[in-house]
Amino acid sequence: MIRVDVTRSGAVCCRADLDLPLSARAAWGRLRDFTRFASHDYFHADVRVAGGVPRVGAALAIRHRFAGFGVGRVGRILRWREFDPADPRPAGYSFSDLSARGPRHGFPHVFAYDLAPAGKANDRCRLRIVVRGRWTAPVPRWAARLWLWWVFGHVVLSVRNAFLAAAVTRKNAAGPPDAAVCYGPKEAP
Amino acid sequence: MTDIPPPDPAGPKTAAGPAASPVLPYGHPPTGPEQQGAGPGVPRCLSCGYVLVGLNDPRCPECGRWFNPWDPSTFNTRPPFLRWRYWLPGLVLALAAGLLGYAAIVPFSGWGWPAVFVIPFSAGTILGYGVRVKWVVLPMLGLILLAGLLFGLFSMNFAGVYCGLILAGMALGPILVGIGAGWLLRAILKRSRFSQRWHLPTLISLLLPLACAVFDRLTWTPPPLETVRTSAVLDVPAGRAWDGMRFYEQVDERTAGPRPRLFAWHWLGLPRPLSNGGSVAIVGGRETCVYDKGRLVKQVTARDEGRRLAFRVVEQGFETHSMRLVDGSFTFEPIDATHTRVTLETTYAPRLRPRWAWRPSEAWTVHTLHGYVLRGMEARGRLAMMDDGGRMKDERESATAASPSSSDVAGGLP
Repeated sequence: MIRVDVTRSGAVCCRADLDLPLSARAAWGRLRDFTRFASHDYFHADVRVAGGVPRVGAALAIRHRFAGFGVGRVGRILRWREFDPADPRPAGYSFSDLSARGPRHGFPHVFAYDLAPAGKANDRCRLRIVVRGRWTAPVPRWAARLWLWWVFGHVVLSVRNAFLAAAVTRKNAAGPPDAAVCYGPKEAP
Repeated sequence: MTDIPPPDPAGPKTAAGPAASPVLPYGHPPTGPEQQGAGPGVPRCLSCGYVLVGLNDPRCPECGRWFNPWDPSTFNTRPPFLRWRYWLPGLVLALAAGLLGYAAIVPFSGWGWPAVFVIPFSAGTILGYGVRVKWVVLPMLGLILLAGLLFGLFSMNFAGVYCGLILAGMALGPILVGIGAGWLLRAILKRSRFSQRWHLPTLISLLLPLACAVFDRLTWTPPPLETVRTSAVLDVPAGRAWDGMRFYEQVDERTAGPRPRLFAWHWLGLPRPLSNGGSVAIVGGRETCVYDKGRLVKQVTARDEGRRLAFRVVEQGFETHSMRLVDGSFTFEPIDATHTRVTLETTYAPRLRPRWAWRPSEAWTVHTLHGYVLRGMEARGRLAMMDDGGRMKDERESATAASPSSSDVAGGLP
């Protein structure tokens, strides 16, 4: 279910909830691929994380490209919470996507993924995708809403397909790995 | 992951904590929609595919498998799910089903409507049902399927290039309709709880052409003979036109000009005349022409000097899968002293069905051939009317520039 709101003041809130046929831990194992999931936006042609390791505060260089035109934007990872079954808070991360001209230009927004277990057997999970920002272009609200609906809908569809593909891969793969093939000792439980 | 630094005995510092276990960074991140799934990318667990970037512990949190950040063999940088799995199995299945259908049906019931329409439709249905791609990709996959079917038909020697291209023109529509039907069926069934949905639609699509072929064979009746006539007014007197009468094989390119592209393009695979011999001077006389694919022998059945020559084909060594030539004729009607209407007629027993689909292309091909023969006859007649100096002899001098040119011959063709 996708919801896109644009207020009179230009505040944007896009939200979607996805029920995924994966355990939260397995889904988080895919969602941790930050550059991939940050690139599901049509316009995010290249996302680079300063230092190579995504973590809170890491600077981002986000190359936008559409129809042959490209522009560089910047951002930062604002939140990164690893999955922990003991932690009731959802795992996930958020990052900002800002214009190089400043935080009040060119649709500044924050992209967030939140993952929480679902189902009685914890074999499913729920992923919430939220985009919050401020619409700065001088276009009617309905046009902005339509545009955001199109872009955000594509993002949600791409994310859903990525997780469904992961679910298919896991379904087709052999069972859990044998301890004998592990490359090192397992920690004591 | 070749840019992973060598192991530091003291252990690298990470953001998560000092002196923690080594942290895997991104290698060459395959970012961007067009780059995803290509080349080395994010390191993943060999067992479960968990993304191992930024972990403080060299062990997969999901399955517990250990990895060594400095040993690329202990983790995987290839994409865990290859996108070709979305479409390639369905495409291969559709192609195999189509080619097997042709291999089973063409020897069984010939080139009838099951082979021309039902097989492409079924292959398209399997494609539309079996692939999971955006709808805009489906027509492109349909074209690839069509090209694959054509290539298979050429390879199995079921069709030549020319017939194959005509067949492709007719099969494209059923393939696209089949793709749409398969896509629709998939969209409906994937929301259902029908337990047989994995295999039953595919099975039905495979069996449908066979059932149609059996029905076609049971209800088959020989199609009636077809006759193609081409008339043109030649810019020569009747006598000269009669003298210039030639079969297609005898037309000289030096006087008639180059052959039509349809016959000049040898890659199309149409038979090419190599030599000819014999005589049509008397009734019963035979003209034998050797083509690169076999012989064609014609025997004169009627000869009315200056008015009509009729013949029948007594031997045909090529293109027997598409038609059997029966007979033909040349008819000459004087219009005035300098113009003659010549009508060429070819009768054949068609082998390709349904007739409404094949008839136009066959008629066009025969008309093209007739047009070239008429052009050659006119050129030969005009050549005979010229004196040594290249001027028209007396019989032509009365006819002036108002007479139609040879291009009008082609223009007068149906």
